[in-house]
Amino acid sequence: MSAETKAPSVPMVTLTIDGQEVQVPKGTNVIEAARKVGIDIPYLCYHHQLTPFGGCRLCLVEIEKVPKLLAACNTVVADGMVVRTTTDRVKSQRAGSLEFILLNHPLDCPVCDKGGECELQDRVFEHSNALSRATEPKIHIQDYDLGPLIVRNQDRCIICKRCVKVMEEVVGEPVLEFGQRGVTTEVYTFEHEEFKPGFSGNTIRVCPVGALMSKPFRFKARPWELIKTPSVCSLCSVGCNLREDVRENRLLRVVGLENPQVNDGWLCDRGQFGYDYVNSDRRLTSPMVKRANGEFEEVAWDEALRLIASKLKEVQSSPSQFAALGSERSTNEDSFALQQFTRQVIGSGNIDHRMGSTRVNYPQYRPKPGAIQSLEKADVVLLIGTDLTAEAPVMDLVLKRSLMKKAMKVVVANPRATALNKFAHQWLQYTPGQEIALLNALAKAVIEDGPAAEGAGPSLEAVQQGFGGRSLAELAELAGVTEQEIRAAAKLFAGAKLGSILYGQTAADARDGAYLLAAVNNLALLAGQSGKEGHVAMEVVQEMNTWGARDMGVLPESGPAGAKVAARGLATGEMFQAALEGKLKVLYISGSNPVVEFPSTAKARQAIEAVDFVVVEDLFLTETAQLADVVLPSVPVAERNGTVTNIEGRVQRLVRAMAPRGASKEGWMILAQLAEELGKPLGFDTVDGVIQEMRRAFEGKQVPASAGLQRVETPQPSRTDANFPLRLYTGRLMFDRSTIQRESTVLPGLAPEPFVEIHPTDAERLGVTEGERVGVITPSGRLDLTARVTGDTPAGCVFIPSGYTEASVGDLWVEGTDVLSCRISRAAE
Amino acid sequence: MLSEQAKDAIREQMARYPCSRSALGAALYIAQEECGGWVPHEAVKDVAEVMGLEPADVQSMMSFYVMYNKEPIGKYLIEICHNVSCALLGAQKLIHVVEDKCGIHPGETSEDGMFTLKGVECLAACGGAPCLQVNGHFHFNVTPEQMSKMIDQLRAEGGPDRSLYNAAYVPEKTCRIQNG
Amino acid sequence: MPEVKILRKYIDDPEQHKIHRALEHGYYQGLKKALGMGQDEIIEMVRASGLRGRGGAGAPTGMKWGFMPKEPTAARPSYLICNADESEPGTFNNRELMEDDPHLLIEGMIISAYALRVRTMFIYIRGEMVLGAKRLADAIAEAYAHGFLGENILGSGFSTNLILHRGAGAYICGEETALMDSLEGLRGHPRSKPPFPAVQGLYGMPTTINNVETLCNLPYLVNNGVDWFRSMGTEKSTGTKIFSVSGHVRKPGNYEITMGTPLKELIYDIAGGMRDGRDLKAVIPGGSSMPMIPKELALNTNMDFESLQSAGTMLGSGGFMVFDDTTDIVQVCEVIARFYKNESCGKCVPCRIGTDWIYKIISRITSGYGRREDLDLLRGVCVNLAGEKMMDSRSFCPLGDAAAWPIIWGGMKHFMHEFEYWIEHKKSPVGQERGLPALV
Repeated sequence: MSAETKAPSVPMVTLTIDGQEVQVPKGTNVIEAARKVGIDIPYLCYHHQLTPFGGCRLCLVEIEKVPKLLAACNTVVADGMVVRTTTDRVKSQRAGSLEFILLNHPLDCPVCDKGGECELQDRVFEHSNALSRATEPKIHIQDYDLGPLIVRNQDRCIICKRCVKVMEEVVGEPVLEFGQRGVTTEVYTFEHEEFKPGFSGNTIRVCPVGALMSKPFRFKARPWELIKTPSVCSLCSVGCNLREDVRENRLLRVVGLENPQVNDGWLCDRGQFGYDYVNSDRRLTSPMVKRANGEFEEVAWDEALRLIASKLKEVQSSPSQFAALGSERSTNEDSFALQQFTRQVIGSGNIDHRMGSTRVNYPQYRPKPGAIQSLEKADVVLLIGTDLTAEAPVMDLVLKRSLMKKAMKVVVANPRATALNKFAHQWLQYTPGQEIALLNALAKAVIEDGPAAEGAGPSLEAVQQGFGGRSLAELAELAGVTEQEIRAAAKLFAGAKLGSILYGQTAADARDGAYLLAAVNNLALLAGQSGKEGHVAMEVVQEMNTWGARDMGVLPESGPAGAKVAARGLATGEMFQAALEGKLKVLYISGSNPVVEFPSTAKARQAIEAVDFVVVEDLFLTETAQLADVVLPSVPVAERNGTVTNIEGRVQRLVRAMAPRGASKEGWMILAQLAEELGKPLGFDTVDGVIQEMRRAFEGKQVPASAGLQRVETPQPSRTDANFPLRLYTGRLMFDRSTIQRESTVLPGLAPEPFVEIHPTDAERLGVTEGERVGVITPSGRLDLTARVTGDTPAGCVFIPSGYTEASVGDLWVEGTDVLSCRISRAAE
Repeated sequence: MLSEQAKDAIREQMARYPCSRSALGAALYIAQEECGGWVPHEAVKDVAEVMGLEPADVQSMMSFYVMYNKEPIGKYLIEICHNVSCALLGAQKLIHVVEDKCGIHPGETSEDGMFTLKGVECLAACGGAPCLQVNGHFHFNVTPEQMSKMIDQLRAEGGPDRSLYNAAYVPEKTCRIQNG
Repeated sequence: MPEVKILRKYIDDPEQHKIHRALEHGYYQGLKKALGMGQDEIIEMVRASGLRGRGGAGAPTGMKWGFMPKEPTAARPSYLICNADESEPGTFNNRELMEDDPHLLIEGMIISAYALRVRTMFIYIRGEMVLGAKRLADAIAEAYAHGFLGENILGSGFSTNLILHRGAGAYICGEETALMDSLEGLRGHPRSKPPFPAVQGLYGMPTTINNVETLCNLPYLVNNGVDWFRSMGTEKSTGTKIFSVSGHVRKPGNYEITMGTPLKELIYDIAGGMRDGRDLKAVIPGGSSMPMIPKELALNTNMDFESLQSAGTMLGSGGFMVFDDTTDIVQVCEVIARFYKNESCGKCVPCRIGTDWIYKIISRITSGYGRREDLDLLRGVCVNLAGEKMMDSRSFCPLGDAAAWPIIWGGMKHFMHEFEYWIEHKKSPVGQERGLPALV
């Protein structure tokens, strides 16, 4: 970065604290200034990530020339300020304030989970007088149930307002509030209802005492008994930094870690409470081989590996009979090893990790680390086809850093209402599957109304050819929105100081996904946002290591870092087709569960059943694993060292927090041993060895130039007919019962029962009422679900969430479609 | 729960202020008048919806102020000041009179739903101590005998309604100027 | 010195709250005159007059006004708020002014708004003042109808709006920053200062907050000039002040007199002396937040900011509560303690807990369960709440001081023997049965 583009430096202020001179940026408060020179000014209500409150009065200090004591949290430094933090007056104030706080505090430390990491406990030990003069009975405030995640213990509450501020300032949903006033002030929810899951767990991290605590963690361990290891969350693509707290080899809780480049300490409730799938009794702990009677039998690793090796030797001569299926949930090391194994050891190009997509050119659209922080700087953000809060929850909080300051406007383009709609400047409710029509309409509006981007020339003509001679009104109609809406959104985006775009993985993985990427790129270029520093155009990928699988070349058309391969192998759908045609002999599935995750579940199941020999390596005996001939127990991230790559392409380190369960083994290790068995060693036998090999593969690789303007054909909406008059589309929820989430203790209970959303006009026409069981029928099958009648979904369309293994929308899927046609039946089957 | 009329009145209040949230106080008065002198949860929800707020937020604000009643109250709200000047000049005796005649203690509502008694802090009428309000209407220098008679009278002939107690004014609405 | 009726000149006229009568009495002439003057000329006039805020703190009004921006913009407008949340126990002059002479306040506000370049004004009236709100609402409507409010007032090109806002029962909202939070539709929690309201007040915009009585001075000041104003009162406490007198006097009520009048005159001449021929015991001079002073001090002090300060108390809001020798000081302290406990907003630790603790200790003493060590404890709690001396605040806002001062610097300082008597004999030193209502 050149010197000119650097942000102007903040002027510095010099002050004296307890005789020490301190220099800090203007605007710093006295607590932070003191912290810089190692002076600990005590506080209980202040939190460096929230606006100061000033209620606990523990941080009062003497400031020269000011007659009263001042709250250090609320006092901003000034040049020449002289601060004293240890005078008798200050000390007696601290002791006095603590005596007050303890007056009604139950002092039930022996039974309080917070004991040992309680800020109040620490401050009392440091600053309090030894004896209490309290004789009056303590005030008791009745508690009530806040739901499955959080326990409220109001008597311990010291009214610091941190939890209220987290919900107000960070999450933007003030559902937790002060009630009453004076000495009976309490923190409560409306009508004492449950604390709505979503981001509620963040209140636990900021609570200085044991007033709001994790219900699943309650009474599980003392803080000092826990072994604490920094790691990364495995439950979505954001890669939130967290600490894994383990006791007796069980992961008992996670605590957000403040990495400002990623999550800054905040977590979503999926991450905060979903970690304990690693403790599940259903974890696989031993290799298993399916015997002739169809039953699995536990075997030793030697036996399992020998069996697999013998089968692999059979296909070594015709490697195209081998295929490998990786996963967006596998670590970089496992993905890399799978790729190396498939291409180098077996010599097959049949490798993929995706559930149906056939996109190419990943490196061209790969985001750069730093995109998350850049996103915060945008004043306009377009969300195209992504329910951000559900798919990458903490990204929602990243946007809110600016949204809550009213420094950002968000346009939500989604057929279905999303949680962010409440904060959105505009909602473009387009027809499901019509993202490209929408983007083309926006592009046309920018060309018509906006300042034309420079140097467009012939490529601009190419873009316009993609409009197919349609007017803006016609393009808007194809997208299912109005011309006015398009013009307003285009004007906002083109007029932004810095505009960024987030687009959904579902749309990008669709059959026309390559065009979607081009259309996003066109819009950013035409609106003049592309070249700006800090501009982000990022795919909202949905799994822990989606980018890792792509980077490592778990793809049929390219190797690690986009390396060219001799010949393109089979993509997942093609593998299944080949299997059904009897052309696959061995299928090695590492970490994915296509039987419920592939768009057409029926096809996946039939294909896997058609393969002679199937190996599945996973944490659980998934639907896919049940079809395997050999099942190998894998290791979750909490139990391994390694790396994962998050939504912005940042590679983050995993540190083993606990020992692998039973005989389970990391995927790369299994493959290394198999390779050894086959006489073609992979060249690594440690994680560091894998990482070294990975580095080699990436050395000298150039980041491809970003694309220019391209012609993108405007698609027609999917067809419906009299038999199947409704469009069926799908998407993720924040809590569901997908392969991993269902194995945690609390998440399945947070997921709503599987449902189908129907627009009120359709519901009225069909006579469907809220809560009624209805059948959703496509040419492929029928799914019985609970009806939700809501305007959240467009008329003529129904929504069914993905992520339910017991009611998989994949059972309805027709191959070769992205949006299905269906009908609703009220009659029982 | 709230009528469209009440919701419109809330919207009218929202339009008065540079920031619409300022109308929350008035909105709760409107709800209280509409709901028989108190603000049930359902009304809180309605107010929150009309004003685009979280119900918890509205409830929290409401719980701070004593003039929003969180429980049903009687037809006549008798608020007797028991601060220093009134206490010195016999407020306690007045409270006893109401306790005896209506069978209620401060904070309670009589079984027939006629009276709610509250001991309140200084009503800014110490010159007329002991003083009290009935549905917001002042009575000064009240003697126990007068108190007793007042109860009888309220029972027999009735008294002022709560409309002024819960009033939300828009006197300036005819002459709004721009650029507040 | 007898009463000087200026602000209260027409207060007894039953028609005065209507505009026709106000106009007959020459109201809105001051407004006409002001609109012909320069805006800064009026601010300078207020500064030169020495007018000090009548709400309690006694800050010079002209100085406060001087911090306001000279050229507010549409994006950053200035606001004027009239603090009509009069709730200080013992104080009741604002209520009378608003009920009986609302046009005086309205005229004063329009003049102030003109000087401060304010296009939107608010009156935050205490919720309990039901009649006051009604009278003000009607008067505001009349003022609009006569062109005193709204667009282009009296052809001057100046436009301003007045919004009446009712509180809903919270003493803390009399504190100016809590009032702003309340006016914004929030819980009435005080805000930290700085930033001061003139920089970042209502909705984050520059805001001036003045008391009702302060603003009522404006029409007279503009009409009669600085010299006239300064001719009343003392050098540092100019003008008249309406004192509210209550308790054991023959004629309780509001009396407007010049600052600096001896307190003795107020009690014995103006308010008719003590009831039933009893003897004076103590006086609370500035509303219940201020420490009481015993007879000897009371009879030798004048009523202005400085004199009362040297007597160890403060003029505050000018609410005088007069106690005769039948008064049980400990029970008075109990009522005061209960009040602050009930009215603490709960934001900061010392006030939330301290007010409650003080009340619990005193009510234990008056219930006959006092212990010797309670007196040290009580003093200790007061110190933790409000510091070793006056103006050594520990709480977030002055409510904490207001709760501790009357106990530690009033009751306990001057009447310690009554506390000791209660503890020793488990009964009242003056034979008053425990007759003050308990918490409701």
